[in-house]
Amino acid sequence: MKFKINFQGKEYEIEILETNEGTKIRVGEKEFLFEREKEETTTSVVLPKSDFSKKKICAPISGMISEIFIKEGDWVKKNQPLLHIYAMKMENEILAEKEGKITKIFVKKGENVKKDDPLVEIQ
Amino acid sequence: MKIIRYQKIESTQKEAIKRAKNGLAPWTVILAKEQTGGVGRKGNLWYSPKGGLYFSIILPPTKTENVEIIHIITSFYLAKIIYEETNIKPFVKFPNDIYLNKKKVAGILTQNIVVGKKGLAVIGIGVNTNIKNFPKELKKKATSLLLETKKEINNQKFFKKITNTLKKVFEELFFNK
Repeated sequence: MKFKINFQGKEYEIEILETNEGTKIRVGEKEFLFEREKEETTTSVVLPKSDFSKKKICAPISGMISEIFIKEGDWVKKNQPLLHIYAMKMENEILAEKEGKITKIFVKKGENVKKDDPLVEIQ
Repeated sequence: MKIIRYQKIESTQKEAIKRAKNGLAPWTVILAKEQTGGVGRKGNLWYSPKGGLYFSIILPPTKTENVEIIHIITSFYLAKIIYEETNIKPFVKFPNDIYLNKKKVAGILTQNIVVGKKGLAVIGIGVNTNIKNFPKELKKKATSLLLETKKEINNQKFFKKITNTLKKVFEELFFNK
């Protein structure tokens, strides 16, 4: 980019150049180099979103625990079947709401549960 | 409603549950002419030779409390349709077996897949429509619409009537359409 400025009655021709080294400003025959500051290279690391909170899975309906597919200490994936509740002659398969470790199983096979009773805790 | 048809399958219900877990679209129906391992309650087998009507409907996710009602409504509407077809008053052995003249003619198996507060129901229906003979051990307990009315049922029409009725009822009640 070239332009002229008038400073104290004297005219100067100025040219501004963007180069790899930095910004060069040429004033008449003189050249001034303004080096770029070296940018620090930073790498942002995105940690995987993990939910470390404990989650209690409760009985959606009253019924009998007809099957338990997991044991304490198991690692389960989201949507993995945990247990069956047999109610109203219907089989209800309860799936894991989140991935995690089974830290507690509150029920046993054959036991009757009421709606909202805790079944399993996942952390 | 999308219908996936099989000539022969182990169980429409098992197939529907498997597909529902893999994200198959709601209102998909698995229909088979014959089942080699049709399931009833508690893992009992449902006698499923050619001539009967065997299908499983995958419903859209809904509140878990609705799922209980879905099962009961299915029983009563199926009984109503059987009555309209046969003019014989059916008996609903609550909540999932339908009898004609004291013999079982249809069964409903509802299985729910529950994640959090949402449940997804898969309704399995077996109707003994055009079964001419039952094995010795079932003869006294089971019957078919053909044996009771002495006329053959159009399985395709009967299937459409059941699925269309259930879809209309459930959409009005639970799925706001």
